[in-house]
Amino acid sequence: MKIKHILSSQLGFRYILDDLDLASSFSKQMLYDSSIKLTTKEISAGYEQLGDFFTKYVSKGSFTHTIKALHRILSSLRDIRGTLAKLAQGSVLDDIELFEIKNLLITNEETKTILEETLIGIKNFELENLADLLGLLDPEKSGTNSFYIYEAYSIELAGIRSRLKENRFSAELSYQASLIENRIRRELSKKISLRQESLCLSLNSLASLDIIIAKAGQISRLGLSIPSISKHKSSYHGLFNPEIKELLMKEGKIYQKTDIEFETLTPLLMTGANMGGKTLTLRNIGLSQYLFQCGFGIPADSATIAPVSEVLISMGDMQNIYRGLSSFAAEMEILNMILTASKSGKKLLALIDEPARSTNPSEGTALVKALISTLAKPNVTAIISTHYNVSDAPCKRIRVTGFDKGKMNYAFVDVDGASVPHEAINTARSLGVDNDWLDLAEKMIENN
Amino acid sequence: MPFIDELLIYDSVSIVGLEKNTGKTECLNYLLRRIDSVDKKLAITSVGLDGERIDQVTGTAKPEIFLREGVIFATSEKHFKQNALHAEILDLSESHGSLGRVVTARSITSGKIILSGPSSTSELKEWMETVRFKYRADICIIDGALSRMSQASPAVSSAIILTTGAALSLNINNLVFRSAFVVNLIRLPKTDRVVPEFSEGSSRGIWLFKKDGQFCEIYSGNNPDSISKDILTDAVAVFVGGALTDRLLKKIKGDFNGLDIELIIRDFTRIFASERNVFEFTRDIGKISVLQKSKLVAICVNPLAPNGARLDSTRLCDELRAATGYPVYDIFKDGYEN
Repeated sequence: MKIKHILSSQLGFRYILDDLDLASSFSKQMLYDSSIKLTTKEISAGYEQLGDFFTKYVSKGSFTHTIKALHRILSSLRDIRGTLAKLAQGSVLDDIELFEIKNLLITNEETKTILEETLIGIKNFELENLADLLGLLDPEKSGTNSFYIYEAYSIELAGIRSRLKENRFSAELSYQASLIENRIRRELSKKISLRQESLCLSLNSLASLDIIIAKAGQISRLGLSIPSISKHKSSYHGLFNPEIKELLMKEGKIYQKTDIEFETLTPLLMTGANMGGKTLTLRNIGLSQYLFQCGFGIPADSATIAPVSEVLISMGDMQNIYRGLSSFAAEMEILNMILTASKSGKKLLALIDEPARSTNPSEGTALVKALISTLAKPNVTAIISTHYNVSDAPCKRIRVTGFDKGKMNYAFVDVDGASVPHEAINTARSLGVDNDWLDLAEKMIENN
Repeated sequence: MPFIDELLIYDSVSIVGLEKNTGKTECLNYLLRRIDSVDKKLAITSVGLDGERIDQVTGTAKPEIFLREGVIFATSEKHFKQNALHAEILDLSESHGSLGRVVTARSITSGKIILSGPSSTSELKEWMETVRFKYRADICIIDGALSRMSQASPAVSSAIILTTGAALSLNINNLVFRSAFVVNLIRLPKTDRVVPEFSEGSSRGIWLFKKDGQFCEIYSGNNPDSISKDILTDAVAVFVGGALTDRLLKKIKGDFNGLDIELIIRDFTRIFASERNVFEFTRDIGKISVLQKSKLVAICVNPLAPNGARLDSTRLCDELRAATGYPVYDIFKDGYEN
């Protein structure tokens, strides 16, 4: 799976990508086309590089000017994969394509110079040495990124061009000039094609540098953190949603971060008052898992995360009138997908928000209980939220603290018993819902 | 050498034709020849397609654009490869248009070219900034496209040359009347009122200046008809953020009937109303003014229609000069081109 495939995941991944300050749109394309990392080895190599760069050069802010300069240089990076492919086939490049190559060479050279001068070292990162090629495309040593078939390539051409200036409309002279120009293009293309692989490497390295700089900048801007990697157990301290945190900040409010822990084999059952942030927590965990496997900073004060092969989510009302699916049918379809995946043996993170919520409570409770038992497997990490009283299920239980002195406390506490909090009426009251109705409901509970 | 000296004080000029075949390209060639000779760094672009030999619409022969050495120009990738002259590539745009990316280049040898530069107003503005600051061009010439005035907006270019001629109408009276209408729009006065900044950025909405200096938005909702007459009695001016269409002009005229108000628009390119409605508005209600005023440098005429008919050049120039009060030139005529 590639990053572009999870953009529409409803978890807010797009917000993070849109926030990323990439200098070049080519880097963005490279990032979107990159695969999600699945192995601990790949993920840890990425974070080692990003974490090292972030702590040394971004977190203290002492390299701000250098990083700005790199950003400016990298903004001239263009997608020239088409031109490089032509080069590999042995085609003769035209002036526009030679210009593109020269532009890449100058970007490579300038980036290299800055990194060397400022002694910025990036782990497992090296830029190609392409000075010889640059000399080839800049015979007058102007250092600017413009290009044409320079007179410096051929004394003969210089002679013809100067004669052309006096004799503008001579077809013969123009023809002779074009013959020499074509010959020069052929020679240049041949020489450059010998270094085609280095050019490809340079293009990719420059894009990955752009991505590292952008990711590190985002960590400091959004207050993200570099996670640790574990095998089975994930724990988040101070988990938050960057998009909502930003929205609240604009309204002068503070986001209440939460702590949460879960592991494979033992599903986590989440209960608590309505509006207690259960769904948002599930979303945050899903988003963080994706960010983790794509090598981004994690929206938490600190985090330890276990890699998985797939994240599956059952959340929100998936009713689809166009496919003739009711809320219940649509939900069952997704849950079935999760169960099938869990049987396949691959490592799975299943985030399930209030399963079987739209059916009768007695069957609903049984369905949830059975779901927990079925998902208690060594390859599955499941987090399930519910309002049902689920007793005797093989799971760990947590509850949202709920209303505390008239205010919602979103923190989770561990609980033992199966009983779920009864705060629906209180919550509805806090929303200003019709009192007659709520009073009557309360009376009915008392009478039972 | 008419109007060249006057032109040199501006950093950008757009050539706007009131109709196809009114001599826009001839005018451009004239500028290229003359400005080049006074040692100014030139940059040229076209918002449409210019310099092709055969008119894509009428099939008639068209003048080609001829560049000397050292002129910066913008053209599409496709046309850059077709161009006969040799040029140093300076820049390649990131966005792809229908003809490929836009190549910015400087001519090394002289020769004929086809121009097809950035077409959207925002890309054009960006291009002009790049050539002015990065490549140090002294003056940008923008060749306009048929019935597209937006590049002539003072927000884009500081001066305008208008071309008109027999292609617009073979009746001199009609030709003069229609050309003079556009000239009158270009020279609409600049308003003395200050439009608050918050409405400045918005390209829509209609705002009201009141006697006590208050500034408020009207007709903002989806229902432009719901406006109370009480608000209007205190009004002294109306600011239209977007386009001034016939419908809007009539609506404002109806609502403000009997009041003397000033109608403010951003610049003359925002007027899409007919001659008649604009005239009636100024007679019945009050003056129309602009936030940004354009500078019309000259009017050029082409007395030759594409079907071969030719108008009396001297009479055309004289009548247009009398109707507009601006210098009018026929650059095809002997005298300027020798």
